Parts: sequence; C-alpha cells; structure tokens
Amino acid sequence: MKYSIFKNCIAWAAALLTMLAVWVILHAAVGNELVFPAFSDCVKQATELLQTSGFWKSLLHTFLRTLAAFGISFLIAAILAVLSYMLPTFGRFFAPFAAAMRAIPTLAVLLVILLWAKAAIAPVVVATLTLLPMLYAGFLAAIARTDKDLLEMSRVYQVPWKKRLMKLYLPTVAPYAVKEGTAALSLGLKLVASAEVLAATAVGLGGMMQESKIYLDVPRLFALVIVTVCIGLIVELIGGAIARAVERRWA
Amino acid sequence: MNVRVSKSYGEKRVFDNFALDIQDGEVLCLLGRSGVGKTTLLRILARLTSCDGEMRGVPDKVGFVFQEPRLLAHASVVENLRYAGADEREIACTLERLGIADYAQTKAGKLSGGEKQRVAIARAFLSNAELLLLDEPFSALDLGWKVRLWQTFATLWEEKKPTTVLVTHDIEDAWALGHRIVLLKDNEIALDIQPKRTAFPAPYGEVSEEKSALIKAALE
Repeated sequence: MKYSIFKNCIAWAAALLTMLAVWVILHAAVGNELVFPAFSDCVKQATELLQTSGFWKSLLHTFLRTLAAFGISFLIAAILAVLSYMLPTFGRFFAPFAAAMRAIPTLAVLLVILLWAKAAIAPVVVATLTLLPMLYAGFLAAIARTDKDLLEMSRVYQVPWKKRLMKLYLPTVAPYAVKEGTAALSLGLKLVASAEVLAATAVGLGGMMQESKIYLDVPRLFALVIVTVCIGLIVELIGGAIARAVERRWA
Repeated sequence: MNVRVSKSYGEKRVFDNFALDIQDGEVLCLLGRSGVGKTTLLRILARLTSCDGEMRGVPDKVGFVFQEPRLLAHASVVENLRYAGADEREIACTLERLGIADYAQTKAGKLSGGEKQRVAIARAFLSNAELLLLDEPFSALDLGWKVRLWQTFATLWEEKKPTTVLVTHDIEDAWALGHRIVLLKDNEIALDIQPKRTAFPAPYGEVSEEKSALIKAALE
C-alpha cells in the first residue's frame, strides 16, 4: 500500500514538473508577457489573490452556484433514473429529452437564458442542464447493474421493498453514484466558472476572469485559471477518497 | 400438493399436461437428464416461471436454494439470514447447531463456495416456508463439501420436516436425501420409488438393488 502511494506521488511530481517545463518553454518561445506570462508572475498573482477577501467571496459564490447546480441535477437525475428503472415506458419517453439535453450547445443556451434570468442565476441553470443528463445516465446504469440473481432471490423470499432498497440497491448504486457525483461536481465547477465569464457575473471566479481579460491583466487571469484547476483537483481527490471509502464499506 | 402443468419455450414443449403429486412432509427428489425440465418445474412451483395449468396446495411462500448461493457479498452471514426474514433467536440456534457460529459476522463474500451454500441452505430453512425447493444445490461442490452439506440439510430438515422438492442430475444426491425419487423423462414419470432408508442422509456410495435399478433406469 505505502509503495503504491509513493509511486503515485512520484508520478504526480513528474507530471507537474513536465507541465512546468512546458510552461517555461512556451513562455520563452512566445516571448510576450501579454500573451503567455511567466510562471513566477502567475504564482505571485495567485498568492496575492489568496490574500484578498474579494477573491474568497467570489470563490464562495462560484462554489455555492456549483453546489446548487449539482444538488438540483443530482436530485432530479436520481428521481428520473429510479422512475425509468421501475417504469421502462417512462424511460423510453424520457430518452429523447436526455439526448436533447446532451446535445444542447451549452454556452449558446447561456445566451438564451441571459434573456430570462439574472447573470447570477444563469450559470446555475446552464450547469444544471449539462449535469442532469450525465448524472441520469450514470444513475440508471448503476441501478441496472443490480445483480439479477439477487433480485430473483429477494422476490422468492418476499423481501420487503425497503429492505431491498437499503441492503441490495443502495450498496450496488452508492459507489457508482459517488464516482459520478465527484466527476459531476468537478465538471460543474468548470461549467459555472465558464458561464460566469460569458455572463459577466459580478461576484464569481468567472467574473474576476472576465475583468482580468478586459484590463489585460494576463498573469492575474492565468492565476485565476490555475486556482480554479487546483480547486477542481482537490474536489476530485476528496471525492475519490469518499468513493473508495464507500466501496470498502460495501465490498 | 398437486400440479398439472404445460410449458413451452418457443417451439420446444417442455411439459404437456404433466401431473405430479407431492406429499406433505416428504423430501421428493426429481432426477433426470439436463433439459428434461426439472429446473423449469421447480421455478413453476416457486412462481418464478409462468405456465399453463393449475397448482393446488402449493404455498405462495417458498424457500429456495439455487445452484449458486446468491448471498449479499457485502453483508455478514447473520445479515444475509435476516435479509430473508429469519428470526434472530432461530438464527443464533441454527448457526450453533451447524457449528458455524464463529463466522456469523463474516462477510459472505469472504466465505468459500461450500460455506456459502451451507448458509444458503440455512437461509431456506430459516424462512419457515412450507415448501422448500432446491435446484441442484450441490452440483458446484467437491465430494467433501457435498457430503457435509447433505448432513447440513438432514440436520435442519429433521427439526421441522418441511415438504421439500430437490432437483438433481446426480443419483447419489437423490439416494442420500430422497424419501421419494421421481425419474423424469420426456414429459413422463419414468420411475417413482420410495427407497428403503438405512440412514438420513444415506451414506455416499451405498449399494443396493433398488439403487442399481434406479441407475439402470436413468441410463436408459
């Protein structure tokens, strides 16, 4: 176990060093701070940002929007997946809706939604529309993985539905739900930040990025991107740890 | 209990007005080659498979031992027994009687094949169903485990003596446990015997004229 953690750390360190090397090479090759700033300048900007209350307020708002989009799409997707599993006719009825949601050009939808909703809300709507079909498909696939032999055994022994839910369906679905949820949360953060850029949302990471772009503060823009990526990675790491804990619980 | 059933799978007619009487409190072994319909008949009795015809006196609730154990791998032995509705006190007593109280809290996924099947047999008996159905429960086990599980079955059966239908293609299983052995062939009962018991279960490899006749009939 310790050796595999050590190997993972080495792999991560090697990857990060490679990224840094690529950055340095690109910066040297481009030779224009306004196009591709030095890594040290970006780190300096990031350090300054982390010390401002404005940044943390923006981060909080972006994260709250992400959580809202994630929470709404998780709940609706779970309900729809259960309905589709229990009522195959409903599943067939809903399939075109899910396909349409997957096919919608996300940021184009944002422009439409901005006609109806405030810049603060529109990123939530866009992220929800994107995450919902993804989570729905994941949950449905997870429920469908429930062992048919065990379901038949449960039928024979007339096991009450509550027991089947808690002892059979939940242990099957939970590990996949956590993995899907982690991926969705990470994606949601990116979607919300991107939508905030286009919507010029006042209080949010995307809004800060838009402002940096307008004032040509490229190191600050890059710094914000790096910080957003780091937050996304942290979310994935935490989610991955939770997913492993859930798997061990029900292994 | 009696059944009179017809069942087809597509073009293939498995049963055509097939009739079988099952006496209360007996262990009825259905013997026959693969594809003769033994498992189909069992699934009909369990109402897992539909059929044409009628079943009289067959209870709604049955205990079923499948070919594979079908336990919740993540749950302990006790949790698996509780899942199927077993009473707490009966669980503890049964595990003691079977000498497996030590792995009551072991996750089912960590048990060997034979141990899992033993738990599955216990589960069927602890369901307190009036009818127990066993579908080739020993087929995947080596001889050592097979004989152990015969004893497990006999120990549990002696307590409540539920009506039992055991399906097998192995004459030794049928001879060991059957109060009555029915040989199925092509929608017919080719042989219906009540062997003289020397012990329950009968010892493996026991030799008798009746058994020889059964083997001969099965091979024809």
